[in-house]
Amino acid sequence: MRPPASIVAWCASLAPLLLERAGVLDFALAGPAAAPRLGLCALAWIALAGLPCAGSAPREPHSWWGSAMASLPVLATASALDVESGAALAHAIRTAIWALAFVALTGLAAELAHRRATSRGVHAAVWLAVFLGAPMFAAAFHFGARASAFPFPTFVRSLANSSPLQWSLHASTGAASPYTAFAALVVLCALAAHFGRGAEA
Amino acid sequence: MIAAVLLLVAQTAAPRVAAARIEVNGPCAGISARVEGAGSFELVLDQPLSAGERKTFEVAVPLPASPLSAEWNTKLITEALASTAHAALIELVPARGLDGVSAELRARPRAALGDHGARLPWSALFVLGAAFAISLHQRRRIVVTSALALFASVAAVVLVHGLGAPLISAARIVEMRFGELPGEPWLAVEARRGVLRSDRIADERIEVEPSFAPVHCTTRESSPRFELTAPGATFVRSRTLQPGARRLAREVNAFGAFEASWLREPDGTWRAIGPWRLGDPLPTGKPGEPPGWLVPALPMGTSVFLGRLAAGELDLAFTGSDPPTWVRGLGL
Repeated sequence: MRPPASIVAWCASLAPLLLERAGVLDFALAGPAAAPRLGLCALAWIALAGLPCAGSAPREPHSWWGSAMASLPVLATASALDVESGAALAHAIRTAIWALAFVALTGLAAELAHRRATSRGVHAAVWLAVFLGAPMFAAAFHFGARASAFPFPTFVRSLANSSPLQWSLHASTGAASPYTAFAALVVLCALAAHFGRGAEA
Repeated sequence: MIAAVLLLVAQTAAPRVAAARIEVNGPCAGISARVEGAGSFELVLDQPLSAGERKTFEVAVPLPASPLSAEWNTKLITEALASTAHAALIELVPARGLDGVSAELRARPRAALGDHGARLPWSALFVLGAAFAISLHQRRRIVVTSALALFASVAAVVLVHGLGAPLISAARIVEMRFGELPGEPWLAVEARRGVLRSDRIADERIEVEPSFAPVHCTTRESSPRFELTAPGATFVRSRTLQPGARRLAREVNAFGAFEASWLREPDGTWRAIGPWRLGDPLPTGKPGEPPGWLVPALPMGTSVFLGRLAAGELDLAFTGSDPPTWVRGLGL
């Protein structure tokens, strides 16, 4: 993640905490199985760390690790605030570790994909269709087709669960399983590494 | 006279949530409706009902803040359900009273909960900002950024955890009187800020503070079946407890194990008793004050006992172990 994106991610991830401080947001409705602050903070970092890059952008080696480390203090703070507000300690720590892993893996996939045009295309397609598109599709069903005669389709839910963005949203409201999203990210990293082999292009 | 006034004060707040038995007709995946002057309610089904299928559910519904007759409440819920076109009211279960509970117990001041959750301190924000600026500047040096991130994380957690008084967002108190009529029922009161989750509501009295706050009730088929939300407000759930063979006296603790306890003598001096085990007489203790949020404006001239029960004790009063249950009694 380049510095401008890091600054945007840092500001966006702190926004929920500052809005809560100002009394605009109230996370009191979350139960002990939810980590609302951590989920929302992680959302910004995961979204921006994994964003597909243009081929003309200069490459920064190990930027994925830098992104993860830049997010760590914010994630730790959000997690501590969740615990202070009643979230279970073990759950908050587990969620923070998964969030950090997702930031690192999404950044790693973007960095691996940056080497060649083919890998950039594959990464951008998977990211936009599955990781970003599926949760938005699910949200459209959830909010748009909430009428009682239209139950939520199962395949949409399954597809959306493979997105780390969906995981962080779920983590903000309740317990969320990270394994599907983790497996999908590992596959994305493998694809990016496979198509990004060889000289830079 | 005093008892009559106390009873009047205790009965001013109207119950804000009731259980309603409804019949839902398929095809339907759930229903939601608004109740004028009370809030809204929602039923979420695990498995949608198919066309022609009918099923009966018990759902939580909000009631208006102003006390109305049972007939008027029934009319409001019937109209709300009619707007869904999928459900009809069978019966609105009357809110359970607190029969037999003394007016003094019902009029006791409630625990003072914090009006908001933990918030980001400026000091932690300063640490985050400084760490981020340095890590941006040193972003090519992996070891430096990693060490800095770890240090900043620990510092921010310490600042969040260590500064400021702990905020109480939920409390469970069993109110009782010692030396009164044998078998006098106790009052179990649970207060929670913003949200209340439960598997049963039919045998409880649920109030909201402030009383005019709109309440949204969600009913699900899986546990916890009922979720009541009122952002910025406090739910107060009360139910009657029968003491049975349990009793508490200075001579012997026949009630349950206390993790920590305090006693205020009639002259107003507080003693920290510490743990009080089942079957033991009251320990001597030493001078010490209890948590302030538990003792708002309690009567003077009589002894006051405060004790935090060990996990698993008196589990008939509340479900689960969070938050811990306190016992508050006068006249020990």
